[in-house]
Amino acid sequence: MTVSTSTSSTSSDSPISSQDELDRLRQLVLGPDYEQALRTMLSQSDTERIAATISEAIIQRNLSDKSVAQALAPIIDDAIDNAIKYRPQRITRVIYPIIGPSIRKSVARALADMVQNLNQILESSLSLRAWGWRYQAWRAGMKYGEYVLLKTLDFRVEQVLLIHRETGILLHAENAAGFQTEDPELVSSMLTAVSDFVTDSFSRHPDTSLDNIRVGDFILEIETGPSAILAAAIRGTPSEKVSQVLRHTLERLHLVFSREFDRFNGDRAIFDSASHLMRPCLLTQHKEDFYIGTPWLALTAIALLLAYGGWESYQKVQNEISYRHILEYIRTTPGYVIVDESKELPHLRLEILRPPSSPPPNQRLAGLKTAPWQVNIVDHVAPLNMREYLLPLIPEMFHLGQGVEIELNDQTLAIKGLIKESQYREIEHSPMLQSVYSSVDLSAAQSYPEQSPKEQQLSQWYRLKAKIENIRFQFQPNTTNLVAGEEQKIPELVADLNTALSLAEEIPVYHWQLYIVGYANSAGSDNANIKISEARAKLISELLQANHMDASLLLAWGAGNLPDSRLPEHQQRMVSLQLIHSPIILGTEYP
Amino acid sequence: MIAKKVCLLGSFAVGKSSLIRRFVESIFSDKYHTTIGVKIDKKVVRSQDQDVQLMIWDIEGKDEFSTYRQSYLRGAAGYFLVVDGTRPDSVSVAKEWHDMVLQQGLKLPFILLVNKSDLFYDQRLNEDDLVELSSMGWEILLTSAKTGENVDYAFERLTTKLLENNE
Repeated sequence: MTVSTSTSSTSSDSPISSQDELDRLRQLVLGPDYEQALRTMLSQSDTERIAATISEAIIQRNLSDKSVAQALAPIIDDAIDNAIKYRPQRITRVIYPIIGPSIRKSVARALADMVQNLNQILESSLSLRAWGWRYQAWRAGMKYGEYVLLKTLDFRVEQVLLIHRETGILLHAENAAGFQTEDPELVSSMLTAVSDFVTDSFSRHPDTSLDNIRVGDFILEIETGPSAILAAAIRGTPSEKVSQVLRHTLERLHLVFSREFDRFNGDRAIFDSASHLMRPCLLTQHKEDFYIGTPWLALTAIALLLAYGGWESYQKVQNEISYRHILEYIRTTPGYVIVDESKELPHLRLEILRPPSSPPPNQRLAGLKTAPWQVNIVDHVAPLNMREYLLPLIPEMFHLGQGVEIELNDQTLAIKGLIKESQYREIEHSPMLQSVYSSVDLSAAQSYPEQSPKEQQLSQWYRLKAKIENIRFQFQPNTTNLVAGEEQKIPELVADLNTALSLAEEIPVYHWQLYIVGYANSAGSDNANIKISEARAKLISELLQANHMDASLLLAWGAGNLPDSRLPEHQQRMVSLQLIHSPIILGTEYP
Repeated sequence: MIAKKVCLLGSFAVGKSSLIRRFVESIFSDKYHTTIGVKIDKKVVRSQDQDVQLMIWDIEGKDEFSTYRQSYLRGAAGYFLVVDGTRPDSVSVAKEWHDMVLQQGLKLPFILLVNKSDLFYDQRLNEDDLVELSSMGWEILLTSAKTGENVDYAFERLTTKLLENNE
């Protein structure tokens, strides 16, 4: 009541006091902050008020829908257009740090792919298969390089991993059928760590990243985007197509999951829907599939080859039979001696020596089938008695040595002296000699094996020498006592040495001696070893002398221990033997 | 299942690797520490009625901070600072690690683990230091990789903090 009276009185008396009362009332109802807020509002322009809240307003709106981005897009486009049109230097300066590494990365990748392809082409350009491919490429109307790439690429993308770049956490994995990795989540994190390590350690540009890791025939191809990494585990040699598919997939993943990548809080459920985008990355390419069936063409070719080979062999055998038949026919003709022969199908040339009483060769061959040979006979009619004419030719015909005597006793050919067994048999069965002489007397001829007696003696010398030099006498530790049973080797050695003495006189072998070398194991000092080894050698020498071996033939010497000996310790206590020539005189032959 | 990246930070030989060795799934050997400076292990922890997969980046404990080891912190949701209760100098290294995380603009949940609590009579840490850290809001747990004391709890506790931070 009081308030109403007072108000009415004030309003009629003065407008200023009425305003004061209104202010007082407003202060009572709205409080002291209202005045402050009102003053602030009145002091700011609309622009300032919007500027104070615009950031928060945009963020808040963007959380609910995309209308802010849609509204700003044309304005930003115009702004960029204007900037490029009027201030291109500024734009160039701003994007230079980004565009440089991008171009370099692109060029480096293209070069790496090119080198890889070129390497494959070079590797396969000189093989037999390469020539086949050239032909196939020509038939298909393709470039050879393209065809080689088509044939050589063989790979399988076994797993694709989508990894959050910031955290290294695996967002989604797609596996090829039948492929299992140990733990893709740990592998993904470790891969991120390795990539970070390589980038930080070896590159100064934060935008560069690891492109691939190769272990044997296994390649990890890595595509790195702003927010995610796509890694493909590939077995074999991937084509450029794999990289392209990975790049495109990563771009699409960024397009679809841009917001999810940025706001990733560990929840990976949303990325299950990336499956349909990632599955096309599981590419497989096999080398040319060869038809595995009955290779009729090859079998026919092989059969034809075999038939041809068989026919040729049959012809060859028939020709040989015919040739031998002709030769036998000529040889058994009484008085005919084949002096020379040569053949080159179909020509057969025979040089014949015959007595005047024998029929001419043409007459002899008239009734003989000689096909396929065309026989050309050079006929020599012996001007003298055939038996005497042939006599001086026999040593040369049968390669007889100088000590062999050949005589003609009436119509019998008598051969005396040493001849080899093979020569003996050849003379005994020679159709030529049988046809010319009534008989061949070899009763005074002595045959010997293929080696001459001197050659046999030398062989025996070498065998004996090897046998003697293989003998070892073993001794008990630290003594000159022979190991039990070793002494029994002495009688046989003495016998061999006596044989060697006889042989050396017959061959002859000059200035030879038995070199008896004693050894010790590594147990003692050098001096002690030399002494005991010498004593061992002397013991063997004395044993041989006791068995009537001439002392001048024996030479005993102690070698001590041989540090590089490969023999076990107990076998190093020994005496070995050697046949040596001492003194060696220049110009003398030593076997 | 939610996955989170956490880091184990601290001086050399404070027992970081031992802390996790018996409690995690691992396919990599410790040699990665000496090669690329980090080894990653995995552990599933249940917290707030859900399983959380922790990807644990055990970072090599050298006392100088190289570039690549700093980059291993990128994307971490939280971390353990590990100190050795018998070595007061390991606390200052842990503080340096913490400062480095802050310098990278990261404000992440973390827990300070005072390890080797089983060596009761060898404890050398200045109590005032721990009180000061505690007053700064640092959560501190005494752990023993040898006896397993508080190790599982530490992982559960950090996971809870990560989830709270997520909210």
